[in-house]
Amino acid sequence: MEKADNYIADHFPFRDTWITVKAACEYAAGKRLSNGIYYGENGQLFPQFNVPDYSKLEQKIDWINSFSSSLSSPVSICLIPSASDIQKDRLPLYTSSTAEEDAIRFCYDKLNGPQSIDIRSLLLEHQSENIYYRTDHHWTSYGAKIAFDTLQDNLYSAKKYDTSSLSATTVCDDFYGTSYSSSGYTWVAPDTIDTYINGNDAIVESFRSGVQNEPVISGLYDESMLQEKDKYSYFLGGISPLIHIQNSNLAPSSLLLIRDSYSDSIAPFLSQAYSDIYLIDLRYYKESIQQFIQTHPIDEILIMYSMKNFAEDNNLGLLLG
Amino acid sequence: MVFSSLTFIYVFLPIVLIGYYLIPSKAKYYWLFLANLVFYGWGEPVYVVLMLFSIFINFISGLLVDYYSPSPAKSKNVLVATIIVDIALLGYFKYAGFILQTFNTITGSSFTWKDIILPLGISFYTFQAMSYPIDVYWKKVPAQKNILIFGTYISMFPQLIAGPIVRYEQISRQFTGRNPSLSEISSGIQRFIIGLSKKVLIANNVGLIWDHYSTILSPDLSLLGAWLGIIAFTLQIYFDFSGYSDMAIGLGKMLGFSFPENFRFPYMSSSITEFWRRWHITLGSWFRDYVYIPLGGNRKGIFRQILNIIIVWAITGLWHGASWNFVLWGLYYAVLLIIEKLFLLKLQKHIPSFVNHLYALIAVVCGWVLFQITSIGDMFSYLQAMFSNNLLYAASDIHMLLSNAIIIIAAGFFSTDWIYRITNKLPEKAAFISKTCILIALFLVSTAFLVNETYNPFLYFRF
Repeated sequence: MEKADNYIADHFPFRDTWITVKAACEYAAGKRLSNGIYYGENGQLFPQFNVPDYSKLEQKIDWINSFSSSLSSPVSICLIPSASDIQKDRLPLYTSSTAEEDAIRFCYDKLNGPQSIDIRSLLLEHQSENIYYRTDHHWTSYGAKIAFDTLQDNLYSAKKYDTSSLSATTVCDDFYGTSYSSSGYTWVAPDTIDTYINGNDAIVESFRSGVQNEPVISGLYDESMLQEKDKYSYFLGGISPLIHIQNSNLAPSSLLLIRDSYSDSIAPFLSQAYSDIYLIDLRYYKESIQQFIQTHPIDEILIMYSMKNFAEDNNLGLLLG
Repeated sequence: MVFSSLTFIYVFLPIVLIGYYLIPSKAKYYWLFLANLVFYGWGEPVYVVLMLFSIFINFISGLLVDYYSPSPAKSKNVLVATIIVDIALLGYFKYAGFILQTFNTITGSSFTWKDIILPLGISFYTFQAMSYPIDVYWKKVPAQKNILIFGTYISMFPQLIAGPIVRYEQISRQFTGRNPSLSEISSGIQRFIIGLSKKVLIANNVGLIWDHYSTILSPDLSLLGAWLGIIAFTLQIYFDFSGYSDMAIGLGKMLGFSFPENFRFPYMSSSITEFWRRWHITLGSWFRDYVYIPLGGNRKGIFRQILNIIIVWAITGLWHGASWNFVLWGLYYAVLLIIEKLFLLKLQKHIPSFVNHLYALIAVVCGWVLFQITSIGDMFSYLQAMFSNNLLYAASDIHMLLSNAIIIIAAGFFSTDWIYRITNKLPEKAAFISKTCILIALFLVSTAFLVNETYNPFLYFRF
């Protein structure tokens, strides 16, 4: 019965128009929050950050600590703050909170073994710039570039790569992200997608149809995705349990990146610092991580999640499997 | 099924109405009865059987009470037996767990009870069904010989799950088999849209405010937040409940029935006595006619009257849910009503009317704290936050206030009859055109809110 109710709601004619009508009515009545998305300054959309369950956070950090102590390679962790934490002054009045900052600090304080990498400070210095998309929760390539600068200073075997002379190439100027579609704030202007790395020297093997099957070989960017709804998948071509990025121009050094989708857009920069990067998405990778580390030459491991995804993730226990 | 859903509005209702209008004379009640069962069975397939059983028992009882009417003693035995069965069913499905838990608390025992899901609307239809054999016994109505008509009355989908409580005597003569007139259908649709908008546009939205504050525990709950939260609930329950009644009355009209009014701007009252004449009217009058007056009402001296008020209000409270806070809520009103009866109403005549309004409103708002917070401990800490708090307000309260100011002001305005006073002054044609445009807009916007519905609670699942 509930299924029938949901079916009717999901297939209602002109669904997107109705959703916009609702968001517009609420906006007119003074609300600046729709389906968990804040409508901020100049129509920038900010996913709301809810106070996480701290006992679960502690559990996840415990797993990471045990994971780290079982390995000989060094482990780093980087939690990515969202736009609502970094660009607080663009939020609607009286909606800013320190919940996300507190959660990141809590996690870092509980670490015992792994190194924490604080990218928050440098992002804060650049808060007035476009480091996040206005219609999507992800960081822009520019935001990723700033984060990369902090990362390469702190990671152990990254080859130093100077980003200061890089310039942006716009590949798309009509990107409407997930905050746009889930909020109903469909009157805001679209984003542009930029890249800084041409990626000619990188080969990407994406095990999209499972680790046992043959990987799809491509470059860092998937042009075809710019025609799709989810244009952010332009970076690395979208969801995949395991991706291997090779850069044969570099001396051998390898990174295992346990990650969420924020890594898709920082991967181009990382490809200039390691000859081999393995990106594992624990939501889809169901093999043993321990075995993966034993059978691949891994110099170091980085666990990088947005704070929100880290709080909501239920798969980090797989690190120990 | 609930009225405020796309399935109901865009699928169920059109099919039911078209069938109903096409089927001639009394045969249409077969169709309506079937529609009722589908409506009820949509969420509660198993409990359809329970409702059919209740229909059957009370129907037979009506016949027997009528049959034995020459010998009042036998007739009374049948009636008493029926009432016992009705109350036993309600007791088993609604109160068994509560009674056992209370017994455990008092005696320290630890009997366990398999939790039963409360059958939707059982308190409403049991009260409707029970009134029928009583009215036959009192010879207010003749017994119904056709179980289809009686079954259609009890299970009537517009008022099945959230009232108004329609008594058999109020509706029995309306089963004539006729189709409603166009003007009845049109005013039914208007009433339905008004009710739908009250529920979807106002109740659900102010409900989100209460939802937010009801989860904040006492040290973090500011004074402003506590008042904002409970005022939001005050508005939510009125717009939700009266919205449901409006939808029910509107649907009734579309089917050619006239149901009694259930709410008359209760928040305009200047005393609690007046409030309860304006709030959930069909429940209040049910308790008055079937409990308070049979107990002796005000005819057996002031002390007996006070006792009767206490009994009626304890039961009224308990009717709203199987939990002690509802009893407390009922007794709270008993005390206020007794005080008003003894001297306050006389005193109020010498007090400016806005003070009286303010008194009634604050008393009702505080009442909702007792109503809505089940745990007695949480209830007192909430009241404490409202009346003695070191934390006046938090930044998030200002955001809550700013982003909901318009909806709260609108809700406050529509809690009064001012809009009707204004529209009554308009020339007829202008009133008609503006009303039509506004209703169409409200219907479209309500649809938009339902398509993207994130919060659409059903508040009467405990009733």
